[in-house]
Amino acid sequence: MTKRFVQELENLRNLLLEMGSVVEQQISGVVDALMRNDKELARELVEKDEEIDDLEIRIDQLCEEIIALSQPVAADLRLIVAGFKMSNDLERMGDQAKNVAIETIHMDPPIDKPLLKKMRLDVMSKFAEDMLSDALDSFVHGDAPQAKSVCEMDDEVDDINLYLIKKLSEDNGFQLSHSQRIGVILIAQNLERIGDLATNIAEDVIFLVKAKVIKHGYEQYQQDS
Amino acid sequence: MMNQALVMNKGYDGATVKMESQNLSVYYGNNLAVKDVSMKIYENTITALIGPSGCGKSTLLRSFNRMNELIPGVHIEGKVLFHGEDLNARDVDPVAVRRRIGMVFQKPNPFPKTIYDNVAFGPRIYGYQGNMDQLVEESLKAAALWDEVRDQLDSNGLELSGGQQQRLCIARAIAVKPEVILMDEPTSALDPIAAGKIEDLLQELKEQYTILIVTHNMQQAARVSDLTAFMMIEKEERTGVLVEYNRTSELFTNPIVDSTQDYITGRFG
Repeated sequence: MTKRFVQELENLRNLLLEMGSVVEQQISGVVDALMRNDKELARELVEKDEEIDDLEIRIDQLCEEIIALSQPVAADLRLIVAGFKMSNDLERMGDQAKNVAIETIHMDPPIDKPLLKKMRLDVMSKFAEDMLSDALDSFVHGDAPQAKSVCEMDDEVDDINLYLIKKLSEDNGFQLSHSQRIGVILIAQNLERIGDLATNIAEDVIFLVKAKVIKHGYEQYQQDS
Repeated sequence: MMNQALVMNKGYDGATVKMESQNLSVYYGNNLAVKDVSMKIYENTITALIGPSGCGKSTLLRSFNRMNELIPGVHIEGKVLFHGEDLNARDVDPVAVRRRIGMVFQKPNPFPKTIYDNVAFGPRIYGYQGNMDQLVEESLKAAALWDEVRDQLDSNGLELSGGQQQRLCIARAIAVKPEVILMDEPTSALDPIAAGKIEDLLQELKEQYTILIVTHNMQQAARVSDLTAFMMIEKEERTGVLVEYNRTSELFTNPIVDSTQDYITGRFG
């Protein structure tokens, strides 16, 4: 194993963590902007999405270069495969966060914080943030059980999303205007997608650490067949 | 108790076991070079032997057609079976063994004879009574060399390029109709284009033959073989042991043993 190869793998890990950290800040920022109705902050965060896009391209290029020049196998190859997928998922998370920021900018009149809390958007956001944070933690420590628990958290996010859609579409329980209802549904759907994408990253970590594919119930399918 | 990392000793998709070593140990004088290797070789497959220098890959390979006994001081313990019969039994003729289990070496070693005579050499020795022209043509075709040499069969084999010489050696090995071909780093002396032709050829040859190949080139092992066996040097006794034996696709993506992982990812060796 050449020093160069070792360094390239280290660079890849560092870049993925850097990108993860930027996306974490982005999600945390858009949730903050939403809760405080800070349209200025929301606009700044929309601009910041370019930084995430640049990191995705850098990671993809590095993965391609490592494959071409070093022909990795086994755990090293899994890191490259996971790297490609994680960078894609993180970039999508950045887009979802940007969408939340855009809805915040367009929300008129804005919804005050107590009502947002009543709709459980604060809880939902916290779940999405924690899922990404735990998924990245499990990547750093190669901790498959922690990654598995991230996948399980996704149900909570899904439940809040369904609750909100039901509440807003059936009885308009929160007394929102038509445009506010659409805005809240879009925000909830973007947060729900962030949870899904954090789950994808956690699944990639399990693939990386255990060489097992668990997505789409594949592991169960393998055991049954 | 069976070593769980030797997965392929449990069977390979119902394939027939062509050869098998059973608790095989090989000594050079008092030095134990290969220790207690049990390994099944399946018909019409390509099996790669990989491992660091000195781990006994070539020694093990040579045990499969009794080539080791040409080296003074070598003796073995355990068995090598071919179709279930002990290759080293007293009444077995080693020359007959090597006709059915041929070998191709690292450096191309054609005889200083014509291309035709190189291929016809073995069959003549074994008293082949059929149509020799046809046999030479078939063998050269099977070795993917016919189109390049059909008009120069009387030229000296040593005039060919390195890659062509190696394919001539393969044609020579094939001409005596072996069932198994052992290859000891057959492409290490060749450029990448010539090596690529041999690799393509191996895929065609495995339809008819069983191939066991030693290679230092792990990418080559990953590209050409169905099954891969990883050997390493046991630290305390400095002897070669078989560590893991699995489908190539498994061994190179999800090795069972840590030392296999370390070797294929270049962390040692």
